[in-house]
Amino acid sequence: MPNLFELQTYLEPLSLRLVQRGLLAAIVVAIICGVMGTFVVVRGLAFLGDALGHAVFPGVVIAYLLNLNLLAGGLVAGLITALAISLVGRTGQVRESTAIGIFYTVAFAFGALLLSRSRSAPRALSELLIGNVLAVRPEDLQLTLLIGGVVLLLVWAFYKELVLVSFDPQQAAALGRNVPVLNGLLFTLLALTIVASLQTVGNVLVVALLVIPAATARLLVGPLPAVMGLAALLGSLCTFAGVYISYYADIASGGAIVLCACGVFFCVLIVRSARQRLHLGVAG
Amino acid sequence: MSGVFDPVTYLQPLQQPFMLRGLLAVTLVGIVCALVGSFVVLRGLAFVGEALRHALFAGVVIAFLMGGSLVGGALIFALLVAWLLGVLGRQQGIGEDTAIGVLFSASFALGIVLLNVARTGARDLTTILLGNVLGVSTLDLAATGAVVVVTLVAVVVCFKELVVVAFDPALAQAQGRSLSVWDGLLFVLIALALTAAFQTVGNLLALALLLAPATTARLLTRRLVPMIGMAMLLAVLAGVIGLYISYWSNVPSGPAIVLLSGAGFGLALLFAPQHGVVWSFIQRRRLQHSRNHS
Repeated sequence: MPNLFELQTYLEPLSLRLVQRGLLAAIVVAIICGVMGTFVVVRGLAFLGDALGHAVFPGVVIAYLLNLNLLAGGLVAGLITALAISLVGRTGQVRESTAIGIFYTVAFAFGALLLSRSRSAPRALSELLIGNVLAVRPEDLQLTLLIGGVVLLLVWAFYKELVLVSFDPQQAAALGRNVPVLNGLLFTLLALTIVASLQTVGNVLVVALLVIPAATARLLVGPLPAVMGLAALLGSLCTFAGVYISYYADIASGGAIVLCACGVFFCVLIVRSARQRLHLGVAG
Repeated sequence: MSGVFDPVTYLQPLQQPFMLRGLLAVTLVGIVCALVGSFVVLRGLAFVGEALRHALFAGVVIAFLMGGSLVGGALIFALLVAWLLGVLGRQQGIGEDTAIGVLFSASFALGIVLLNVARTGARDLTTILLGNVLGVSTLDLAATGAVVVVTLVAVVVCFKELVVVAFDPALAQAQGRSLSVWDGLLFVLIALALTAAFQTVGNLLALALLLAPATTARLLTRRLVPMIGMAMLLAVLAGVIGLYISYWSNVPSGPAIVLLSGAGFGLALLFAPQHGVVWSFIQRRRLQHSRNHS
């Protein structure tokens, strides 16, 4: 058990190249997840985020079996699934949430079937599912930085349009904005964020990093840019704590990061509702 | 392997007891998932199913670590999360979608970390997520049978209420029916169905069995009772055929079953009479054609 009050406890892991790399990648991921997660929470896209997280799986498996770039494979599969969901939703015959549930499970089953053909299946599978910060390679870090930069740049460039289409699609259409294109941009950014997160938190927990910090921030502050900033900050802090816990306790980094974020969320929620009760009591 | 049309081809695997148990299991699971799934699809609760599925995962891991009954652990945890969903969804400033997202990812992360602490390795994670029909024991089979009986009885007894709430929640409320009671019952039934399904198709793919057959049946018929019957038939067919494919070609059974259900959904979406994409396209063309001529 490391001594919590000694500086050495915190500095020692940082002297390792692999921890430095992993931590940097995870923090970049936490920042873009905070920004994109704000859109997810405002628009109620948690289920779609979760589904895309699972749907990138067959793409990653195909890329793995063919020795191509894993993240590119995942991105293609995620975009195809998002397109299929929105097409089926548009026929009006099937509820969109039902379509999401069917498409991602079928996509995942396809990936699992493909992977079962390869010998290294269970190991590789669980690595993809739950991620491993400490296995980030230099080229992974470069790609994560690149994707992070692109996502932040696009959000900054199209900020007004994305906010408008998130809050009030009807008004956006009335103002002459192309709503399907903007929605497509939002989904693409979401898919990019998810793909960038694969290595650190894994594809089943990425939705947690999207939803939880943004939901926590939304309980605390009002204006959208403030929510984004606070979500990115909270996500980064939880990532920091999670990576240390995972280093010392030797548990999956993705799980540790998400549990930290959850702890913060429930603390904020409890304090907030206690204060509301108190105010009501004083008023009454 | 003998010919495709030779009955021996299909009877010979049945000599293996594990295959017989597996077939019985997929049949039972297909029936219960299609039945509950019909209400899930009508009421639009796919995301709740997703949340409960993750809660089951944590419950299974905890039960596994404590050496208790997996099914019991799964159920208790799912009921806990269903209750929390109700509480959290009512908090202002969160929204139901976000509440579900927070809860299910939290319980999943808990499950992963616990599995990690137990040092049982990647093999177990894969089994929990993707299932293993051929490992079903007689005891599992009995538990699944009990779940089927309980679900059938509950649905038959409360059929009218479940139908009204599923089709028209506002009307149900106006008639003085409590939404939280009947939705609560449906949550419990979903938890039961997912628990029954997790051994056969696995935790992750159980959601597909809940949604795909019922949605396919809904595309084929709008009347409720035939829809439920057809959903059951489709689910059982996908299960049995998937299991045979898995037996012969040595692919994992869970994904095979889910891919078959998905293929059925795709076919119905394209070619279903009246509601299919192709059908409505032809209808529209015909309408345009007759308009141009008149």
